[in-house]
Amino acid sequence: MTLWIQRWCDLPEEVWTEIFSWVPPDSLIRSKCVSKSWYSLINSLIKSPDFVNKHLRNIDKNVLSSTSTCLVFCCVSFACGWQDLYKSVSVLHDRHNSKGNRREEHNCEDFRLPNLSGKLNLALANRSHCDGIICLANYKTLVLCNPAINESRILPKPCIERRGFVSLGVVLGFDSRANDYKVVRFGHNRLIRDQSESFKIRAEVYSLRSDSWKEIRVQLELDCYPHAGKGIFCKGAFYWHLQTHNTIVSFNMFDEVFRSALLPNNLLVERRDHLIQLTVWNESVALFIFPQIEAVTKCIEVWVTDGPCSWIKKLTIRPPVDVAFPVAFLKNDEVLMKANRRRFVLYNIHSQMLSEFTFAENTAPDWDFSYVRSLVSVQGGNQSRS
Amino acid sequence: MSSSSTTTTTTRLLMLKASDGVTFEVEEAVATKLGAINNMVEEEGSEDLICLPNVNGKFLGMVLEWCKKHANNNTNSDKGNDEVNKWWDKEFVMDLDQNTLYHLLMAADYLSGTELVDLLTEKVASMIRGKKVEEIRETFKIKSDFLPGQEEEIRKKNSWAFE
Repeated sequence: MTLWIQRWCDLPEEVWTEIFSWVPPDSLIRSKCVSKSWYSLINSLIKSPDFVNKHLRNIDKNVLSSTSTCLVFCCVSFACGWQDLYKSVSVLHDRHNSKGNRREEHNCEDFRLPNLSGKLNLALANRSHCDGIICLANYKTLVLCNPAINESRILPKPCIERRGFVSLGVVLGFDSRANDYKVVRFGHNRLIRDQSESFKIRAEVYSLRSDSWKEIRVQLELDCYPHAGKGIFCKGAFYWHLQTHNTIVSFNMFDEVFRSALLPNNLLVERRDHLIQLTVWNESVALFIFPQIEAVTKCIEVWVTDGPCSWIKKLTIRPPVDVAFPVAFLKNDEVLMKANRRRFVLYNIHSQMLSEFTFAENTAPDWDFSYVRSLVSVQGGNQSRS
Repeated sequence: MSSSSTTTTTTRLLMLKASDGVTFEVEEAVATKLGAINNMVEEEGSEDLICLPNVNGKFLGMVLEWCKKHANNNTNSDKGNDEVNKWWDKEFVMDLDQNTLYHLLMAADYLSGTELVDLLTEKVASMIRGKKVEEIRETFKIKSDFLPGQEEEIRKKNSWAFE
């Protein structure tokens, strides 16, 4: 009876398309070698924005794959001179044992970026990540790469001249209305007028679709040298915290307006001597506010905004082990914290589960992000996600 | 298959008839999780007996078991529900043999059970994930039809993915 014979090659192309949308990029590329029909189907799929988008969405919907968090750390190695090393840490949540005894493990591996030009020195580069694309920026060169599909590309020269411009941060994000990946670079120019100095904030935005830069109008001049914390991207806007000025500056991609808002006085007075750091929580902008005594943080508050100048405390995290500072939320109930120079702690607020990663003796991990393996191309033009 | 009616509201029962004549009595709310049946109910309205000549009773039974579980789990909207569904889904596909998986996927696709297709295609994808080309061919009984040299060329072009 033919009914009982399984003929996988008879499955309709739409079903194979569904199947391939769950396969990680490297396995998918390898699968091109299976047969002629797989070769042509996979080749056309990875060029289709709809498929690339579906593939990206499926990463979050995984039921069977136990790897739910992949972090990439950039370490500096002292072993053979100063050298940048990328290490990926996959956190395995064993959902199957969810009845009480959950188990967590992690795998640490070297993480390879696609071949970047040998002359390019990206040690100490500013790094940002969105949907599998990593943006690396040093003072004059910006590179986008997607390690999962072995793509990388040097971006066109920024439009703000290098002379006198000091970059404060570079962040990559996705503009869902324009279906476009954008990079925002912001910094300042020092001005001297009548023997007093001031710092004029300048910013520019790069669009992957148009493959070009555009300067943004910013009307912000500061009286002393500004310092900014790590920039974040949340729901169509980029944010930075100017620690020196107690100010949050933001750039919204939809109206392309650059804004700045002072943190409210009551917060600054009540939480004097606390450190303040931007983060994303529950898909909104939030602040980690914490006191640090002798490099140890016992209590971390999470504040969220409900208006440009109004912030309220929503959560208090008490880490069960000594940590130096919080880094980011990986999920709404999971916070990554740095314990000491080589050790990181991932803590689940609800289950109170803890995992720790320690890096090798001769490395210093200084930067991290939650990474996904996607098929999103960095080639620009019409290849953006739809 | 009889439906357990724990709800007080009267729900309409549908009769589904598989290709081998086996029939299933199912609550409408359960059966309409399948897009194809939902369409038939909306279009034909009063018809209570639905014939499904392309689906064998064994697999239709399994598809309905999945629908029933998800319809039940979706009614009580507590917080851990998503986790429960995921856990149950994982169990559901864990020990499926390849033959059952294939026919179940064909049935789910024919019946437009989108969420079930998602689950089953993810399961098939796990048979590709991290595997060597030869292993994939073996699993799916696919013969290479490349001309001599063609496969090597593709491997060479994508050598990074084979390291």
